[in-house]
Amino acid sequence: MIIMNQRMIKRISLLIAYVLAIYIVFPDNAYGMHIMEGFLPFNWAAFWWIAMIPFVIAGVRSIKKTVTLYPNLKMLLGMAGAFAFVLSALKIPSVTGSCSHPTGVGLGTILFGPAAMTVLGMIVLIFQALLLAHGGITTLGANTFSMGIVGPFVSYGIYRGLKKLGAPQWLSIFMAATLGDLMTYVTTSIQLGLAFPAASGGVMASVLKFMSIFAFTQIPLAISEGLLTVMVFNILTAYSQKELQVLTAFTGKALSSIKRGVKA
Amino acid sequence: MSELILEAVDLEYSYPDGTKALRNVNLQVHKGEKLAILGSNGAGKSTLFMQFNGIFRPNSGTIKYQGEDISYKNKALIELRKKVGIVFQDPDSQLFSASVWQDISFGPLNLGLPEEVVIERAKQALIDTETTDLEDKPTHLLSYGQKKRVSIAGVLAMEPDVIIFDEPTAGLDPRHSKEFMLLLEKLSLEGKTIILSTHDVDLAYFWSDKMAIMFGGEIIAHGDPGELFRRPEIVKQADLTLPWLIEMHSELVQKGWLPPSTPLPKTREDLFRSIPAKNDKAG
Amino acid sequence: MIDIDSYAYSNNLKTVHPAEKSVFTMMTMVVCLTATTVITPLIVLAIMAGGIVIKAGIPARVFVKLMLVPLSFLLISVLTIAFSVSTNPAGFWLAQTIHGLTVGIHYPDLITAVHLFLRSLGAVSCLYFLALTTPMTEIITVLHKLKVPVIITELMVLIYRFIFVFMETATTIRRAQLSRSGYVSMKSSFRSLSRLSSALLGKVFVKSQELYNALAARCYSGEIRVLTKKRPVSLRNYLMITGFEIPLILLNLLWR
Repeated sequence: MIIMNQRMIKRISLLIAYVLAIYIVFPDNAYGMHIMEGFLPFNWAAFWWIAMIPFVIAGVRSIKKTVTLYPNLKMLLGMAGAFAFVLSALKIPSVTGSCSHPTGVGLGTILFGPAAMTVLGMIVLIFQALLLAHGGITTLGANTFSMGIVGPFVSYGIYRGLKKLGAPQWLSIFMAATLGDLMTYVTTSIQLGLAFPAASGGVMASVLKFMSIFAFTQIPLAISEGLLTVMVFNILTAYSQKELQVLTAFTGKALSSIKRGVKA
Repeated sequence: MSELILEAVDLEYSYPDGTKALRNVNLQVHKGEKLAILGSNGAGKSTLFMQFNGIFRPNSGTIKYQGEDISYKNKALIELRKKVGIVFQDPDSQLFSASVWQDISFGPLNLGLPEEVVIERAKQALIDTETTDLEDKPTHLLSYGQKKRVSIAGVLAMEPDVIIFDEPTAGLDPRHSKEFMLLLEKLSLEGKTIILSTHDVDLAYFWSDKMAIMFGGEIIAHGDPGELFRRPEIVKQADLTLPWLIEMHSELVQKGWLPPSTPLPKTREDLFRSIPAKNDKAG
Repeated sequence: MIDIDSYAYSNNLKTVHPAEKSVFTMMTMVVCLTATTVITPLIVLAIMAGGIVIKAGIPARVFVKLMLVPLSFLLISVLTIAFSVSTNPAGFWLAQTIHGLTVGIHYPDLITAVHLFLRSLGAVSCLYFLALTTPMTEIITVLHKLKVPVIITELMVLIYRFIFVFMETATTIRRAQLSRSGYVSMKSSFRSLSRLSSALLGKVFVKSQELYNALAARCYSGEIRVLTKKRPVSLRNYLMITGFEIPLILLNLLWR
């Protein structure tokens, strides 16, 4: 038993050393790490493309329905997409002192709902690939799946769930944004682990390896994003009540409660 | 006097949040007229323009186009907007495409014109606004003045009868403002009715043949520019100043350089011509 | 403002039909991804580098700099695949055991990592070929021709246009904040960034309504229709693409 414990401690300390090493070597967690062009084998790239399509179709349907009713919201969605792109190019201070880029997943999902975010997320990822070489065309399916599907749906679920449980507004927003961001990278790690099982230990070992790099290191950054999202909502509720009301077209009742205000 | 083309009758309008933007606005625009609407920021100029092609609907009162009340049915609105074009103040909220060519073709395509006609019109609009060399450039690599010209081309390509320019020279450098004024002259000669808003009193005075002064959502004066500027109480009420031509003229009259009967100069050339050479005076 | 984007409008292949460039890019990318040998990705990299630097006239310096952009992701990921940590020292090709824990490389993992490294670089060069030679508006036109849902291409047109408008706004706000000592501490960074984000978001609301009004003034009635520039279709280019791809496909099939 004692030997086991020592082994465990060693493992954990090694892991911590590993994470710290990554921080030192790569302090700027570049662009939230989309899977780069050509990194996924053909079959996996195709698999994620196919997995993405039904969600995109659902998103397109939902957007179409909304913009037929309110034609001006098409322009709003377009500009929101541009905003997300610009936001992702800004540096966010991390609670550990390094910096990264906000994903805007939580903010976008709470404002526009997960279905619209899938389509916006995909388009923003296309532009990031073609204009900034972050992510890629073959890996668009995988990246959209993590950032445009898993991230937003997790955010949305947590936001709605916590609200239903009577959690304060700021907490719901914080948790939605933080976990939405984090789950995006957990998904990325799973995608990479599935594609590249380790020679010893297989998929599980590989997923863990990737998580220790892409997800654990993301925790402080996810918290930063959560804080930032809460702060942005505080400003929005103070100054942009009218605009927030417009958005109920996307999210139904979800947003109406924001009227009552967020207090952090 | 030529026929009326646009008319606002007892217009009242409030924004959805309750801010009163237009109060009892009455304005007649004649065909082929050059009308300047003068007023400081927030006077209601842009809001009035949005009424003229049915983007905003008045709470009460009516807009008449060629003597008939405009209808707010979709089809009728498109007919109206085909005749009354607006060039907005900020090209960054009018140009929706990164391709100059795509943006200019948008309007004429919406009119249901065949492709050849659209191409022809777009080309002509590029020539008229001197933007032919920008055709292949993306919008975001254009200067402000270039964007402005492209946004004008996008409206010209629809060949409207009435063109409304919201603050057209704001942000243009002197050379491009001058070129823009030449373009306006050309459009006038083609018989277009032109309405522009500005807070540049000099521009309004020398360019327009009718002027309306707006303040606090009301039209406080409407008429001949020379006459309006002779009423200092209006100019003061609207937070405006006098055009330098008029100030100079009255100064010269006051100091005895010009006889009081000298007509108001419309251009700087008029003014300079009326000032006698020094020798004449002494002799 | 964005380097890649600026080159797309000022390179020697700008007037080549976007469909030809897209077909070439996508086919080569698939060939590169399905390669079983390390030679294919290297050939792809060479062809694309030639296309970008010699044909399109993009400075070699720029191309090299761009190739380094995804390198941090690539290195981290490739090393993650190559290295393993285990309590069982058996089966390692190269390893170091410290206090019963073994850090090292399994040979098959190393092979995977090397293949992956080259394949990714090859694919990235394909991506750059398309991105550096083809204006985004034309790529959107190709997507439209491919029957991508209209709402997607319309949103792309709007997003692409307003990325630059908002980037300009963001830069201006940031500059103003920096000049009033924003971002000096963690706390002020958070405050500055949240102010910047919400100011931008406010712009999103205002501008989108203004744009809608402006489009309505030009008879917009629900669908954004535009004319696109016609580029000449070149049979020669298609033959050339076939000439490039067939040997590469054969190489992939025969080299087992």
